[in-house]
Amino acid sequence: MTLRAGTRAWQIPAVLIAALMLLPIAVAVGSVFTPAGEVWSHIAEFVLPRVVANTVWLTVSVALTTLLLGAAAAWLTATCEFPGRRWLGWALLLPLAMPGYVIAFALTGIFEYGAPLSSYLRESLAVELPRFSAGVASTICLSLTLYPYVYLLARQAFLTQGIRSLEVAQSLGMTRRRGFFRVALPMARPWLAAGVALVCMETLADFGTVKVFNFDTFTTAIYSAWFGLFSLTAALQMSVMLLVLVLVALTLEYRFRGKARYTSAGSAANAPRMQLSGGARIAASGFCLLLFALAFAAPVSQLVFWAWNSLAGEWGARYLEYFRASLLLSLASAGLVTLMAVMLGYSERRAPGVITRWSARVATLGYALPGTVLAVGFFVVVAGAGHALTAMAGWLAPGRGVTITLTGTLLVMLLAYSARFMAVAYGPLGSAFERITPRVDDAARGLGVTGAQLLRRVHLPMLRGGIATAALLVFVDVMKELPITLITRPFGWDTLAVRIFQMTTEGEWQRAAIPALAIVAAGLAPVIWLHRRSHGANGHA
Amino acid sequence: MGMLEIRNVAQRYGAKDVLTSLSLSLAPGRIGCLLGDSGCGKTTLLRCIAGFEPIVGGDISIDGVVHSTERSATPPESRPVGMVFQDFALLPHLTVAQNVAFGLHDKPADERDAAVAEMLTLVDMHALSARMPHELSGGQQQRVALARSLARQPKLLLMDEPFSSLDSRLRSQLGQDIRSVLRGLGMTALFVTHDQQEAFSLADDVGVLQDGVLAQWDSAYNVYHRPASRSVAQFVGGGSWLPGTVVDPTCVRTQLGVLCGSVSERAVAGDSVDVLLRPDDVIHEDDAPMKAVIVDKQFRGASFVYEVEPAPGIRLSAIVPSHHDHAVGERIGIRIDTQHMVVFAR
Repeated sequence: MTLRAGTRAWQIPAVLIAALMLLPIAVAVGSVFTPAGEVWSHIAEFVLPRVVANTVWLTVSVALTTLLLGAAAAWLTATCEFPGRRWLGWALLLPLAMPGYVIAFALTGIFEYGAPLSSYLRESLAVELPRFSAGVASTICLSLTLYPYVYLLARQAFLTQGIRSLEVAQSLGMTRRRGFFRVALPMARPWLAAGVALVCMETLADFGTVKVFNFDTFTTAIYSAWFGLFSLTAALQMSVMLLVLVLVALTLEYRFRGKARYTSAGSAANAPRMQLSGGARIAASGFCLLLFALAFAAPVSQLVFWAWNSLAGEWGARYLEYFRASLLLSLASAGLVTLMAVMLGYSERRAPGVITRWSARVATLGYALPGTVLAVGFFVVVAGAGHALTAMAGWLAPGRGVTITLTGTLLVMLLAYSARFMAVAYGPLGSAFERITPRVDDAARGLGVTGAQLLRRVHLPMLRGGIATAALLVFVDVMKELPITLITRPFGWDTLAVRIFQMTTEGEWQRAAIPALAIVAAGLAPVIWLHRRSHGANGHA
Repeated sequence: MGMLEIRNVAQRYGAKDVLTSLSLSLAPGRIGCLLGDSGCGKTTLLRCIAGFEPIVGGDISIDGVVHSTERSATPPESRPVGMVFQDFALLPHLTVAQNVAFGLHDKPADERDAAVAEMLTLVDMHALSARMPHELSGGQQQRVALARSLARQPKLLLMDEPFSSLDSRLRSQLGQDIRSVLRGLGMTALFVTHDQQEAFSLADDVGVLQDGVLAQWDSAYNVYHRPASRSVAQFVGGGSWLPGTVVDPTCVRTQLGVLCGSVSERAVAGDSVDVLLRPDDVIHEDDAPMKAVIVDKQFRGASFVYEVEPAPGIRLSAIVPSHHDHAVGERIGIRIDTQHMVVFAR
């Protein structure tokens, strides 16, 4: 496709945004050629073997557990009838609001050796709760917060074609059980693969959960290389290794999805749900209830209990500081990321073609890049820019001794947030842009509406919903975000998430409850949005 | 004994009756069709026959074996029934050949391959056996879905709105192709549709289903010319109702004179009745004594449909060959052909 010169100018913002996102990756990959000396040999000998094994083991075990939990819960709530099915259908999404590092300390508080529940079981019933290793505990907590990704996608698949696929199998002489394994599961494979891929990305990126249990993975090792061993190079080089793992996960998803596509074998709008028999009904209700209790009800209750107990001593003016920092950062990055995503979408629309399409793909890669890696990468980039500016200032005004430091500002943080959450904002905006077809423009021009008027009277109103959604999702994600905030925050910018981290590393779980509840409450907003959206989609089917 | 026997079948969703005391019989080798608006229960009946839904009253037998009663139901996979779904429901992760082979999972491989090849040849899809479903046109998907159902050699084939997702040019050709395939196999088939042209051109027996009640189950010809009720008459073909009084068992006096013909209902002299005049009963003849004013016209290619007013307050539709091009407002001669007169008491 040939584009006019004026149109071609629209490629520039897209390419710039994409280039910005590539910087930390380029820096990390470039670091491979810098020898890190003794630090590296120490890491290679004492840290790497454990970290690699832990990270791979954790990712695989969380992937399998979420697949099992998510697919089972989705199948039950989408195709079967049992008591509580209706409210559990959406309630099982709520754990999405719970960051892993919150559920980790909340569940620990409930089940640890000295907790009231364990003491009661031990003393009254002589039942000893099993002691989990750090790896198993991390797996449980991450699975409980991440299974909703699989659940959400699998449920969509099963709602639209679950019962129908069983009917097709039955009409061809198969039993339901056989039809489930031969038809329903294979047909849901692309959705399941996509859900598990998201889970793997999140697990590889997780920092807070594993930190609570002191389970060493790549993200925590990168953090300690930087802040413990003071070697940025070693941190970057481990980031590259983590990126390789991310790449492996993405490739596996692609292979697993295979030739199958997101096409359905038709929808069964009026097919009745399966009526389970007595025992199966109770088992289905029990499974979903237990999952909901462990992943949401119990930890939230524990948080409320702690928050209530600690309110008098804990609450004070400093909380206003945490809220202010969280709010300001979330608002600023929501605005910035949404603006960039709009520019990206607009470029793609005004200058459609290979360049803008690939720019958008590159720019949204960040969801797969762990926050720790982005933080380290952008820190180096910004530090380098500071040095360059200092050198330039020295050349322009020799002898004045001007030094320009950018690393102590919010710049690194905002850049890292932008990279990490561009995909989150671009998703809803992309689908909003898709609705503004070229025919919409033609129709508006036919009615004499062009230029700025077209933008103001047609495009912006049609994008408004997408913009609001994008900003909301980024806002909440930044609020929950831990590693980028922790690593790159300037002095005096302690957020709610940082406060939780500080309290939990000291084992002061009770004192982390108030900020944790605030984050969970904020996190509920996008979950409700998600539910309403998927609900709306069912209405059309 | 029919291949399919449905006796007094009832189905209910909550408090809503979906099917009410419904009975019909389909003889071996015949193609039946259930005709009705959406929501009339026709798809529900099909799903009850296939075994996807239980029934709350009556029974359903296929080839002399009872499969559904209000107390028990054979699971769908154990019924000698094939089903073609409305959207064909091809499995998107399997090729054409794999889709057709899918139901033959209990057969040895060589037997299965032979059956697949035979079925694909039957529906003329052999050349495309390695394609994926999304690479096929709607008509081709339809053929594969048919082959997949027939491969298991069912005793009865069910088709749910088989042509509704195809464009109209494809429909009649594909319909005739499918009819000849079914005829060649001597297959008993039942399909549902809301399109009466489809029903008439494909089916031997037509049932008109209205609000869960089978208003009529008869040959296609009789459903049109001897409708069992006013609503059936109105649904199938439509027309205008002309009030009149019965003169003798074959004649009715109306505002347009005495109309005589074979009367569809037993009539007694003196009864007040309505006569149904179908658009093809009203014939345009330039020198006919009865004149009517054209109030509206629609061009249909081979014919015009004129709305005419032979007397104040009476409106009739007339199908007229399209070389008779008259203007709205013109008076033209019409004759009423009442060989088959559909009459209902008022």
